[in-house]
Amino acid sequence: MKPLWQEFTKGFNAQLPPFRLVLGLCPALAVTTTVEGGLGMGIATLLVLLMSNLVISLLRNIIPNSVRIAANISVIAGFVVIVELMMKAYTPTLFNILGVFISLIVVNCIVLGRAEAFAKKNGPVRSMVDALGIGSGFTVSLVILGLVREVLGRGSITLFSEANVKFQLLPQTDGYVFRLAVEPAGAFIFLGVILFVINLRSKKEKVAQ
Amino acid sequence: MRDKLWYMVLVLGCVAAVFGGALAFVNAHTRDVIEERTFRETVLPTLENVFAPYRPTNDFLKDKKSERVGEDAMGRQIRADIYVAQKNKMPLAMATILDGRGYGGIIRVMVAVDVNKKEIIATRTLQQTETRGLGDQIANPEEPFVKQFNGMRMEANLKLTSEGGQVDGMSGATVTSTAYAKTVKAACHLLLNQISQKGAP
Repeated sequence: MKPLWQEFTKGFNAQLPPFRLVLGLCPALAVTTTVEGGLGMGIATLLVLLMSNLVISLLRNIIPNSVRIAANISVIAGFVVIVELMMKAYTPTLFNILGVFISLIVVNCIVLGRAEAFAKKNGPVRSMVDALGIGSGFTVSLVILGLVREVLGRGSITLFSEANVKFQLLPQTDGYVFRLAVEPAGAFIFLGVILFVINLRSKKEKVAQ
Repeated sequence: MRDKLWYMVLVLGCVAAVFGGALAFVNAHTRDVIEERTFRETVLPTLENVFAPYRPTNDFLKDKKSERVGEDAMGRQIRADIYVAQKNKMPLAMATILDGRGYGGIIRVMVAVDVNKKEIIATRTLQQTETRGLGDQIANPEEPFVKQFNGMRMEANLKLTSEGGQVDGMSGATVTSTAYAKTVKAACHLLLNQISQKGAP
């Protein structure tokens, strides 16, 4: 069995969700127009993943195999709605930015994937470490994508608009936007470029081995 | 045992019940906060605007009242919120928000009235999906159709002139005009009841 810390670090290496597993692309493309969107989405997903992995791992010997999908979805959906209500109440600006994509965490393949591939076979501690690793990897990836797109697109870095934590890098001119970086098509292009860089690096590593 | 039907039903039922309970708990604890947020974002600016001449000193959300105004097709209660503008504990103005059925969907109208004069102070459209360029004029507080209600008596015949009333409709948007006037009339009726219940000050 792998040591515990490797369950965490794999979320950043071999199983980095959007870039290595190429999972969870829908939120990765949709909400990363700003750093804030990516960060908020990442943290929301991390929380849901953590809680659902814990509960599914605890219930893994109780839930019969034939109804596991229904049970897992109920667990995940429950936590998603809890996170959604909390965000609606305490971070409404962020909630407005993320909109429908919060509810869509229910069908996020990362969350369901970890439940199926990991939590139902491993103990609660290991499952939570796995969730933390994958979740943080996902968050970091979204922040990177958001950072590239916001800096290029709007020349700013927004961390938390609720408290007005925002850095303007380029002087703000009237309606300056680099459309390609802000629009969905740009999201694909930048995602592709990052994927390319990461694949190039891992190929070099393989050759070196 | 684990592949028996009753066991599967039991497990799924338990999972659903536990999460249903958890959701009810979270909902109960966030409902008020969410309601206040929505109120501050959508209703409060308009409310402050129409009440401004009275220089009210009270908290509108705290003094809000909810009244039953009817039932929908399913037999559930429809309630309307009534807001009061008070100065030194004296109610000076009241406002309510009602939904009317327009040409393109629901028209949400706020009607504010003067409690002493029993006159309409102003009407405002909070939400509408009427035809662009015709019915959607109701969203503009400066539009003559909307402005004509200001200062009208609450007991006035709030029907379109074509139906023998006092309201001039917008040409090309009869359905919208009728729906708007009807909603204002319903709101006046509701607020008049409120005023007479309290005993005219």
